[in-house]
Amino acid sequence: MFWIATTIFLVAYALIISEKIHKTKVAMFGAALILITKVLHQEEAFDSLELGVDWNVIFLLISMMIIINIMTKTGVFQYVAIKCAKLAKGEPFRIMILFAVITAIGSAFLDNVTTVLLLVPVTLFIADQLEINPIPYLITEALASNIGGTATLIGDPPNIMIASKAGLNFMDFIVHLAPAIIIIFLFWMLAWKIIFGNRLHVRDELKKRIMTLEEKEQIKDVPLLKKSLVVLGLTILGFMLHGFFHYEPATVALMGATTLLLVSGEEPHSILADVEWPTIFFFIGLFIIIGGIVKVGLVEDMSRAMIAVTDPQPDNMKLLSMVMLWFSAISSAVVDNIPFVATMNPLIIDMIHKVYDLAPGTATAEHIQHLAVMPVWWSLALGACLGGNGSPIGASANVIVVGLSEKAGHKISFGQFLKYGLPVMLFTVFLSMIYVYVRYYVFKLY
Amino acid sequence: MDVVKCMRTQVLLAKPNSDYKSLLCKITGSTIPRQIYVVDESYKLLGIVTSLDLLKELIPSYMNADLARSITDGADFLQKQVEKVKDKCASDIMATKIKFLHPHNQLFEADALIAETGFNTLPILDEEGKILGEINRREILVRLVNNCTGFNLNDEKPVDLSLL
Repeated sequence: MFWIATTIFLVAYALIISEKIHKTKVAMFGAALILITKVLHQEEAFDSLELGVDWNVIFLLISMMIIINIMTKTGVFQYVAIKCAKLAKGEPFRIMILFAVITAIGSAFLDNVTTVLLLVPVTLFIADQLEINPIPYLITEALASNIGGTATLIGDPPNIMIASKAGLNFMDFIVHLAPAIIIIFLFWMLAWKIIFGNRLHVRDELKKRIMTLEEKEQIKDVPLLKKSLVVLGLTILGFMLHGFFHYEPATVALMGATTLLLVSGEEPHSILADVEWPTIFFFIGLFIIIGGIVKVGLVEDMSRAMIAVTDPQPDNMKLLSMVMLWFSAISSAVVDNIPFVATMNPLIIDMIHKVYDLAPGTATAEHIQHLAVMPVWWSLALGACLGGNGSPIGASANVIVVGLSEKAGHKISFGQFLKYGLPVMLFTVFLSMIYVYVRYYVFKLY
Repeated sequence: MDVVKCMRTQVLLAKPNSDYKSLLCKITGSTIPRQIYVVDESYKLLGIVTSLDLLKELIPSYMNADLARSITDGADFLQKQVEKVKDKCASDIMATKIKFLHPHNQLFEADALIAETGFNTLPILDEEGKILGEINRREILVRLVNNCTGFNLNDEKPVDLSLL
């Protein structure tokens, strides 16, 4: 059984990296093999909290996709983008900064891909109006979406997975990751000011073009916009309070999604059809494959190797945190960060059992959220999310931006993206390392 | 009835290297045809450029109706776009996956193919792929009216709304 599960896992991983076959097909077929070979029984795959599909993650993703699908119909993002361009008075560098801020905030509360899908057309349009090269703006938005998405529990799928596995709530992410992201974002913008501040210029007559744009024309449905903003606001409030009321994040998201579906008047058929089902089934397949390698002991072996290298102690896991941060970042630049985190989550849980000398499956929240362990979870989240900026294939948002840009006649080569993305990835992970070290190991602010 | 008996033989032709401007003049200068057939020296069909293709070239890929509404001077925007695409030629714009009919196909087949594809007009090609003519929705309907009793083609006159 060990070799069957290990082979399925390794082949699936290799195929996902190669992108020769769609990752959803690979994950689903791998999951079917795990079940047909009886590595996992169907009950374990569907019902076991330890080995099976994490339905909390699945329903949180589906619910947020429903909310986003309805919100995109309002045109609010395009409105905000054009409004910002006018607030910047057509100054190209100010527009770059404001668009980066909108993208980061949007990505923190919505899906990264949706955020860039909505903003890229407006960016191309504004760049066209200003007669400037849109590529630096587009790459900035891709990078901003990955940075902004790191700040919250719902910002990026790896965070959703980590939160579910470690039992962390929305406010934990706000308290621990949002400050890091605000600091990182400010330093990044400072660096961008030095690089682009004096390089972007346009004629005054072109700036005037921006000032003549009518942003109000972007709002397609005012009543729907009001309903969406109220429901999204209440959902975010629900996320902030879910720990206090002992609700899972998926329950809050499902309440928000179904409420919006009910009051929006939208047809459920079209809204549900727009849910990214391939991504959802990718997660389902992946959870089953990972459940298989947990059951046969591969994850346990990997955990032993990690302990041997990083020597985590029950009261201090400093080296493990630092290694986790860089290992996650570099891995996420080349591998999809979702399967990476799906593998690392059970590995950390297994490591917790060994470090605290617990029998298998007996770790409680007290161990999983031990003060010594928490920096390891945050390092994983920071590394996995920020690492996506390291290459054009490191994150879905990057792939979308590169594709849309090429379609509009502005090809972004692999090297060109790397020129911007890799230094930003190294810079932001370096800042994260300082943040984790200073916060948790110098000031001990857990 | 074979389509060859009701096809129109006056069509618009262009060479693969015809530029955007000439294609635009050709299609706007003609009152009825809505598409231009791009052919080689022996009149073999290489592709089709429709009025929709020419309009699409003027609209950047990122543009949608909502973004377009935010522009206060649309005429200026379109003028700029014409400048951008004026050097494109027919071979850059034409559609090459073509639905077509042969002369011996029945009118009913033409009707079914037009209904299936949603195209307004279909070319009629010989066995070697040379263009012989075209048939469009209106001609099929005219033929239908002519073959049925009880219809009078002169009954309906268009209403000039500017006179109301």
